[in-house]
Amino acid sequence: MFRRTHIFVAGLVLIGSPAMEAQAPTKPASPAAAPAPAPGIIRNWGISLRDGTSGRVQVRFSSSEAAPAKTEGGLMPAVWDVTGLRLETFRADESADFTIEAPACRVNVTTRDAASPGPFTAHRDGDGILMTGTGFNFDNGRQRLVVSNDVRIEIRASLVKTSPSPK
Amino acid sequence: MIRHSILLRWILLTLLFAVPAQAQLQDRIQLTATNAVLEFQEGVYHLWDHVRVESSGVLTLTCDDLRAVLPQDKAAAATTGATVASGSGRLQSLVATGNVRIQFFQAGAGGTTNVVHASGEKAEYGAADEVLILTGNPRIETGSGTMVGTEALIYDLKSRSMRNRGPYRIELRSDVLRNSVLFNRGTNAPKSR
Repeated sequence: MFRRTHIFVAGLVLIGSPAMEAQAPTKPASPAAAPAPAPGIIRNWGISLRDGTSGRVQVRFSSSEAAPAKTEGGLMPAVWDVTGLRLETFRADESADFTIEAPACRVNVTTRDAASPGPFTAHRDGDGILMTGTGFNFDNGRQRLVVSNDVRIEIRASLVKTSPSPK
Repeated sequence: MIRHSILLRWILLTLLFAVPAQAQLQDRIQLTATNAVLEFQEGVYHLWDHVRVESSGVLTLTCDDLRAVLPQDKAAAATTGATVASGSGRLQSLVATGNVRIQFFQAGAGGTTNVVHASGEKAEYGAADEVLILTGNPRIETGSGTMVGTEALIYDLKSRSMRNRGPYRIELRSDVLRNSVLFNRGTNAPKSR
């Protein structure tokens, strides 16, 4: 039953709304009688987060599995432990920018941050930039990705080629 | 006979896959380090601790700290109609600091490769003027000698010329002049009989 409730909540989250951040945790239907819901695994978890002012999609999290990292008594946990993360960032015109993938990761949907001590890859299809490393922290507020170990970035040589020399 | 056929197929397959892989390798520039911060909106890549930049057959750079600005790609912006800063999609600037060591590989005569070693405390590259400015005990070593600057050595990537800011010293290797016509000219001294 509780598992179903979680799935329903995830379904709501998938729709993604600007007002989501402001939404207060909903109390369980019968808090006095029911025990705290056991954290359940949600398959094909995903969430699109929009800018509160413009309404444009800022970042999209999706994963093969997710489980609430902390049970705070609410139906909408803020922190999730996800498996098979795919994090997509979007530009101001909602075109895709970077895609970050990690086998395991902790996501905070309130702050829109993601972090993992494990390996990850990040790539941008437009210009072929590929980044790998171990341990990352994606800070959505500051629009930055911090990598703590073994960073490897590959860029196309054409991106740094100089203009032909004058004859 | 069968062995020969298998061997031939293996060689052909190896060549088939090795050539594109090599071409792909030369098309890529690899940046490695212990730590990095990528700022998405500004396109700033900041790497530090054991930084190494490698462009196969072109250059190798090592330093303590590297900051590269590579704004949003122009191609993607064109398809989406987004407005991006001019010159975006390409490396705009690069600043390497702390024990900067650069090796340039240049094609020499007879298929040889000449290696130019450059070192200093700071190297700056700006895409607008396409020059590499080396400061902090700048030093450039080629096969024929060494150029030691006091203030800055400036390498123009467009014209492939070198200039300096402030006094400098050039040390030539003695063997460079050994076979030079400068020291092996005929004289008017009487020939010994």
